[in-house]
Amino acid sequence: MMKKYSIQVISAAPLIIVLFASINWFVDPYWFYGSPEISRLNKSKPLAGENPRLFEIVNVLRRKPEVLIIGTSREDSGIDPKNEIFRERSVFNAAISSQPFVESKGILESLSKRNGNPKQIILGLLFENANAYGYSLPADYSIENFDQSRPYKLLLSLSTLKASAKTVVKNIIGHSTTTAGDGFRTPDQWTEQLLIGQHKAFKDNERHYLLDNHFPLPKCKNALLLEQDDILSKTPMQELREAIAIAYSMKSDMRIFIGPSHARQWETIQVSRLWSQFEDWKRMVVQMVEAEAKKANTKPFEVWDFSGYNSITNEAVPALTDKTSRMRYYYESSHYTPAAGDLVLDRIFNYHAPDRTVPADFGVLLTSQNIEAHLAHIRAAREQYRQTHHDDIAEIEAMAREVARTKHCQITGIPK
Amino acid sequence: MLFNSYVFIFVFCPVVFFGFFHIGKYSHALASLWLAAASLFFYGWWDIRYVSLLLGSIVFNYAAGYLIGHRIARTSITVRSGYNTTAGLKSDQPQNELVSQSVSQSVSQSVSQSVSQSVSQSVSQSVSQSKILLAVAIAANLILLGYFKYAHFFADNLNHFAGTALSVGQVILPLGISFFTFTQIAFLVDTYQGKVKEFNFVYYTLFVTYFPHLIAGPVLHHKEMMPQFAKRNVCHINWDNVAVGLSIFVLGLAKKVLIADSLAEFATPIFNAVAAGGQPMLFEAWFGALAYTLQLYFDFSAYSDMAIGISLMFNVRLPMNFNSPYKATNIIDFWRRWHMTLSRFLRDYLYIPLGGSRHGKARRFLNLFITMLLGGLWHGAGWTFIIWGALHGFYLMVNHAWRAFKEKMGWSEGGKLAKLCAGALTFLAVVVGWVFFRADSFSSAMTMLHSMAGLNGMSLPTSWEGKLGQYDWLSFNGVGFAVKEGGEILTLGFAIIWLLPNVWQMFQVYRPTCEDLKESHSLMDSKSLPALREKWLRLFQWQPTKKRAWATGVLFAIAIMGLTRVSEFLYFQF
Repeated sequence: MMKKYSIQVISAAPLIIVLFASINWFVDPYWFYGSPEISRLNKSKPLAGENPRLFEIVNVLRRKPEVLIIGTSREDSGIDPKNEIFRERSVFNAAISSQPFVESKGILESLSKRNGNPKQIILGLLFENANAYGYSLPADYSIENFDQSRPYKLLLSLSTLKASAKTVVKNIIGHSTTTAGDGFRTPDQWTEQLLIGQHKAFKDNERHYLLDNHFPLPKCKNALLLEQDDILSKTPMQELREAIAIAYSMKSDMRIFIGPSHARQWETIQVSRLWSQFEDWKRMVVQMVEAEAKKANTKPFEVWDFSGYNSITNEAVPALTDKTSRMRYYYESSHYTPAAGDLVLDRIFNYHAPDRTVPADFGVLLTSQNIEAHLAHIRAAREQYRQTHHDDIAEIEAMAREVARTKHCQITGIPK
Repeated sequence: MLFNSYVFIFVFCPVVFFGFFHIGKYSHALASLWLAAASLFFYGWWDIRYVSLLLGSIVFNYAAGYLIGHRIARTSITVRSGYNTTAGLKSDQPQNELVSQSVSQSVSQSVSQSVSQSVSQSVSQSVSQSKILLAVAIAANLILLGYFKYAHFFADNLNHFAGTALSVGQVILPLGISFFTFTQIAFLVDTYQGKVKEFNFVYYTLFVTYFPHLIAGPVLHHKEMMPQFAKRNVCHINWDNVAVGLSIFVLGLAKKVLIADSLAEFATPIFNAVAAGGQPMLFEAWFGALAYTLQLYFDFSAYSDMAIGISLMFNVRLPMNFNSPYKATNIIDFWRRWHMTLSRFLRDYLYIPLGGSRHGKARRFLNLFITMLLGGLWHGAGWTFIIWGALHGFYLMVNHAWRAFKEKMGWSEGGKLAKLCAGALTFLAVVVGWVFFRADSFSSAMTMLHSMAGLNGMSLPTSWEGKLGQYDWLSFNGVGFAVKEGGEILTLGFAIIWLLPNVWQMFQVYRPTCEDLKESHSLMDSKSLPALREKWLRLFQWQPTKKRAWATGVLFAIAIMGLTRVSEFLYFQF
């Protein structure tokens, strides 16, 4: 009897595993297996949007696109792979929320190992990612996502089974996905978030930057380099330098840009007294791109700056009481819409779309020769913005004072 | 290699299992050798370089034990031949006790002076040689452990307090070093005390390296293991043991993968956030502390269950390691139920040699405290572990003092309500201890406790946010909103630990561990169970039926599928 019992246990387990794996393959909640898509069953993949790190890392490494977009959530929802510039080339948007430079580097490194060198790389940079004291990997970051066997292991996973069940239920009730198969976050994801009104969305985001992002815990510091005692690991800028070096070694054409966040976003940097560091960061980026080009014996990648105060970033924000008006170029102060993203692409690829024109003051190609003049120009534009936007400035300064009082540790930049 | 890995479940375990029983058909010695080699492979899977360290430790300790044993045996023979008139010697009496007893008392009184002097000299020389050997061997073990486990800790503290600039370099902690060091120290001490009978090198190697216990225990004792390896029928497949062992392994795997790992997804980010300087509010802090309390139990006891299950499939019974510790109604009771084999080791090889309770109340308390303090240090090289040990030492002192006070006053144990309160208080004390155990530093532990005391405000579920409308006043008063997920897994965990029988209770009829039945029954106290509770327990009694086989198979499949999971982003706002 005991022998029979043991054999039954040992036989039941693989049968169940095969059954569950078949369900996972068929539903394919993360677009891994290319299974047939049936509407009202598995066509929409909402779980891909709920687990972007898994979905995007695994898929970009599997698909080996010709055009690769990397960066943070700003690029994830701002740079559309369906833009006509890319025409018939395979494009994947692997920009992910809070993507640290080490993750961008990981993607390039893994693609290189798998002989998947993209012809074109578009890298969006975020100043906050460069803080050597803000370095921490996102909670959903997993090194296993870079493993070639990851999709197969996930076939035999309970997490995937749960995701499959949720996918089917969401398909039946007509829930659509907020992430497209090419990794792009559709504007739908913002619909609910903007119900509070766009001005409130701006304020919430700015408070978040003032409270958490500019001077993150535990040290409440922001610096591009680590102090001697704190050097335990590489700084984000070292990771970025290595990512750039890999891109040169891949013989890809990389276009780097500093994103077009709203003028109010730059004001949170100003009020946190990080402006000179912000400028140093731009200098550092240009310097490292040129230095690595010299090492690779090739011409430097283009570095574009869309930050600052120009006809796009100065777009007027609706009043706090107005909850229905929507801005053309912004969701909130940090995240820009695909309309702004299209202009970014037009500028960096010098593309002339028939239905839009890039304003002349939007986007400057940075080199070590023009950077000082460019920075001085932004400073002047900032002064002008402060003269013409008293209410915006007052609102941000009041928030900064409130945050300085609330925060558990002393923020070095903001007086209480 | 971990039990909860594909390579162990699908490759290592089946190969070793069939290999062992196949070879066992031809040769017991070869089968034992196969199991020892497989155990070394199991260990080397993690890092092949450390196999030589493990083997070196085994050879050294076996040689030291052999030499000590040889001298003790010679002493015994000398005593016997010199004083064959000596009466009352029992063969199972520890030899060194026998020797000292003989030398100091009976001998000098019952035999002639001249013989006594020469024998006495030779015996005491042998005893002192054995003692020196024992001291050297124990010191060597402790130095090895000290270097790999504590060098950084001591250097850092010395640098901090004495302003020195000691640098130890990079030291990787070899897996299971605490376990194989302790089991071998016990072997040496017992050899010195003349308690060791089995000196077969293969069985000794197997006892130390035996893969089911090698990495996370239970802490084995040679006395209960080596005779089992020596049994001839150990290498004949026994389907009773296979069925029971497999079922226990599946339950352990499910506990680890489905419960412990799910709980870790909640406990870890909270403790990490605190380590990074965050200050959780009331609910998050309690959530983190309780999730970790359950995670640790499910993780550790699951690993013990898996070890017991696998070992049973090889016809070897390991000792029981957990007996529903969170059902304890006082701290003394807790330590009889939690990591029982370590408690036993600390009692026999630290507390009793320190003097135990033989030198008065104050000394007993001191011995208890020192034992727990060192027990804390054994768990990890850090002040938080020492504080955890000290805290439990303090708890035990209070518990003993309270017990003595109750006895003096003639108070009874109390009714159900008193037991419930005692259980709740014990659990609370244990949770506070785990906060120190888990936190990365003393200040992080204090932050958690501060928050658990409600001194850092409280948060409400985000789902309430919309319903409460404008909530600036709440925020001003220290109330925020945070995502509350994971309540289900916490509830499930509590239901399992408090309402369900433990694995041993489910399988007790089949005697899955090496405790003898009488001892185990007294552990369970099953006679005093009320009828309803007994009925409830009987419901979970394992039986080899077809339905249960399928249920176990499904659970096995689900647990295997739980090995690969997707790390989801959890947002704790504090």
